[in-house]
Amino acid sequence: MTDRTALMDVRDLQVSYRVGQGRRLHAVDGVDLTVAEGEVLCIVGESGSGKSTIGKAVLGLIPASGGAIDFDGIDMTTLRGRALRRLRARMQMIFQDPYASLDPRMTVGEIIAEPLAIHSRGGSVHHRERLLTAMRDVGLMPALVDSYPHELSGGQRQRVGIARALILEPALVVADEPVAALDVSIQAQVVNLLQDLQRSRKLTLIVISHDLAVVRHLADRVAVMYSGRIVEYGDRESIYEHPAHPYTRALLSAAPIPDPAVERERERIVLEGEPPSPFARPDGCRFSSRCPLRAALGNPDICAHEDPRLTPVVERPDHTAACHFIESDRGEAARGRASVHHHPHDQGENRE
Amino acid sequence: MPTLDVEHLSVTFGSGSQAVKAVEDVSFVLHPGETLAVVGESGSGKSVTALAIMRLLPQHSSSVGGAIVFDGKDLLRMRRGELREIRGNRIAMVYQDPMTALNPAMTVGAQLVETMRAHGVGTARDRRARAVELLTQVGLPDAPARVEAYPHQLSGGMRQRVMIAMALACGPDVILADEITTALDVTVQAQILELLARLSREHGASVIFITHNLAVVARIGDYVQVMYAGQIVERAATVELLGNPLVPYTLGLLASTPRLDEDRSDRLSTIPGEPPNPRQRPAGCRFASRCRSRHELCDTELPPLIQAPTAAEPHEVRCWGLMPGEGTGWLLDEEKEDAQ
Amino acid sequence: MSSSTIETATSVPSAPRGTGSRSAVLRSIVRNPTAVFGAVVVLVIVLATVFAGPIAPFSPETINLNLAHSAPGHGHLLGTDPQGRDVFSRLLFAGRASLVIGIGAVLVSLVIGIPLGALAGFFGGWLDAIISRVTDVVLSFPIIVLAVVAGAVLGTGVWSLILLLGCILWTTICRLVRSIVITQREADYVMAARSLGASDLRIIVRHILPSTFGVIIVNAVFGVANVILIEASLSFLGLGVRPPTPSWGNMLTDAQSLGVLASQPWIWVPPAAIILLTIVSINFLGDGLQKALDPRLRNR
Repeated sequence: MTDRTALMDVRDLQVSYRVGQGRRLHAVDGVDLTVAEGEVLCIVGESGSGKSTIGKAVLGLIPASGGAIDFDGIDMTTLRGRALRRLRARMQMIFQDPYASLDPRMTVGEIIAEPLAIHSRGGSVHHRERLLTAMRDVGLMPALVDSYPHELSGGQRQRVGIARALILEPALVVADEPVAALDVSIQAQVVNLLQDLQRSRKLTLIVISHDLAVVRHLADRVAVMYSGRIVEYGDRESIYEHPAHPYTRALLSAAPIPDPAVERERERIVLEGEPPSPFARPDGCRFSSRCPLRAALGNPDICAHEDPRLTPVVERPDHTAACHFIESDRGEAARGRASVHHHPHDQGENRE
Repeated sequence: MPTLDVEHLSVTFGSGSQAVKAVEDVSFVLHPGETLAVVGESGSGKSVTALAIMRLLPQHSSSVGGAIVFDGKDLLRMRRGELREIRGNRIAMVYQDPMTALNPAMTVGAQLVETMRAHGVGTARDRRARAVELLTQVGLPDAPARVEAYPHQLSGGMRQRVMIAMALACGPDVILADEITTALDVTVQAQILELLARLSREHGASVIFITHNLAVVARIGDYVQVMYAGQIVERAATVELLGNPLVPYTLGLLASTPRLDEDRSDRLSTIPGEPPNPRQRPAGCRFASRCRSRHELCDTELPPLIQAPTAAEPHEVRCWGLMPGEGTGWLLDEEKEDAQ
Repeated sequence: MSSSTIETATSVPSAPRGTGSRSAVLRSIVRNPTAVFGAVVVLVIVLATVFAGPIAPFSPETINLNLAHSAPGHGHLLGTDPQGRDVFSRLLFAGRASLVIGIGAVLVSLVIGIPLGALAGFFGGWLDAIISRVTDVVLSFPIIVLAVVAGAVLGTGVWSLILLLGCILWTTICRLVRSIVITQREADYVMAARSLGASDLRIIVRHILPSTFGVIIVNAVFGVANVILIEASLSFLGLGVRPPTPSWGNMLTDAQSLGVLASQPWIWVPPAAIILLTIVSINFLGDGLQKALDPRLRNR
């Protein structure tokens, strides 16, 4: 994985907004990311973690307040106006709400072909051909070309959004919660479509999602975000099978599984409290106030004072986590205690 | 005696060619302390069922048939005054979006007090104390201080807790929870599910938990009722239904849900197509056009809801393929090999 | 449960977004009797003034003092005015001036108001601040005073009135467009267009402005009625269309004489009535359009 060429390289990305009088909301606060060509990177996290902000920042849709975003060797944060718009032909976005992201006054054909019109590629006969091919590729009947978004079902609308994103054959696609707004039986159709398109076109895909099950299905690599930072980053299997950060473990244990037998046997860590305010974040580890591992270790001072950096997880290549205690034996032992301690049914088995 | 007995409930919006049958012949009973999960996609009629129980459907544009018996009386035939006695007091509802359901200009404490005052619970001084107690019970951190907070000063999870506290304020017999965890993050969702289960245990209230998420059901329901296109298609105890799903729609739904504990299989299995247009629902089985096991009969005749012959426990299904008899029951022979 | 929480639940079946298809808009208007009435009357008035030449039995400006103050009859359908001109013919030609001013001034106001509103709403910041302050200043001028000053500078007449009223009334359109653009600016589909690489100009023209059309059309229709009224008052005061060119407003000037007002109603009742009828009909039409273009109101 690491020897593949990086299509996008994000270093120390900062995004903050001014809110009200002089207050700054730090949505993304020092994020490093590398996306290799042809891989699927999933960014997971809860609302307010900054995951959607990263997606928009790497496309240049909201300005970065610090750091660098290299796309194919060009630092996007230095580009403005026309140069930035030209680059956008190579990177596209799929939105969460397929209804809101389609102009209600345009037909399906106009919406899907709009990128061609913007970047004036080829003549109108050529456009028509590309349009119909794009529609077929995402499984939309050509008869829908003159329909309006409000005449389509949710699944069809998201297919329109995907066709629009792919018609210019971009190198990078960012999908922000692409199935969250869809009905369960339609979600699977769209997940499969995304996966097929990604594989057949060797697309580089960044998927932003709160749904850990969907992420496990789609991702090559996973970045877990908490409070504007990446807290765990690495290969999908490694993260799902051996989560190292206490937050990732809590997140995985909180997501339900549709099987009462499995549910009863699972370790379940119910977190207390809320993430820190994005206006004033603590000096040390941002998860420390809610961390069950820290509590089990007797609240060591280092968590409250020192900000942990992403460090490699022992014996797992391509897997890093930002926690002071991922490697120590003390951490291992305490983690066992922590999960038993928070188990709702007392005889829970340990995952390690 | 059941707390709530819903008999042949049907709800139609509009009339003539524009009529939409949102709920068709839905019957179920809810016993004290029980949690019933109602699962379905948008347009399945699950939320409309809840609104019908609360008598909150717009009167001029909908017609409601059947009976909803609560405490020996039919809610559908009650006068407004009687209804007010019950609504919010003995049957309480928690909504999906607490931000729109809470009054933005009142503190959460004032809203709780107002609810209790409207139903004559306690004295003025009691109510204040009880508001704090309720907020503590639902796990709102720092409740004595937060009683003075306005909804916008709370996080989504906290607001949902306040909504639950309001529902609990008068000690209801039934709590209707409509997609209350859908807008919440997974860790907060886990907190709220635990809370609801605990409260139902401690207060003995029955809960109707409406959701689109089968995975959540595994945590909350005693019974599950799956709805599709306005009808109940499958119903059983949670463990039975999720462990031994029978109806093709439920099977398809489970198979198309990616699972956290399963490594990536190459493709998710899908249910082809989309739910039928509510204005032109098919004459036969509502799911027929999307069903892989459909026979000709499915297109023309609507299957009844019957006890599944293969199930050891109470387990109702609506499917010709599971109905013993001549020309039906083709799914009974092959069991569910291919579906698993 | 407080009553406010209960009310929110009843609004569950939400209205569809967007203005919907043209046929739905048309159907809604046709089903609305007052809108149909308004449309028909407006159409008849417009046609009558456009074809005033062939229809009018007399020239509107030919003075025949022998026939001054004649009551209706003798070939003069509505009688004659103090100068002996045919009231009916003048009414038709006057409609031309009034309608041309009404439509013209509204068009001028759209040409100024839409771009300024769109720029202010879309870009915000100092541009918005400047444009908003300018609209505040313009709105605070009394129209009559402006008309006097403009009349002195530009001279009076149809074209200077169009320019003058257009330059005052653009503020309403500008504020309206600005407020809609602000709500649409952050909409997902605008973000989507931006992510496709669309330029600001394309986003404004292709995506945002079309969403303002419904409101603009309705407002323009009401605007025409408003301008016709203003024109009538200005002309009545002698600040608008100058005689001998007839307008509905300056036809009323004759009613300033008490004798005419008291005993010769045929001179002032017809222009007054036609102004009333036009304004009411345009407002009916505007109401109908508003209902038709807003899906939330359409099925009431």
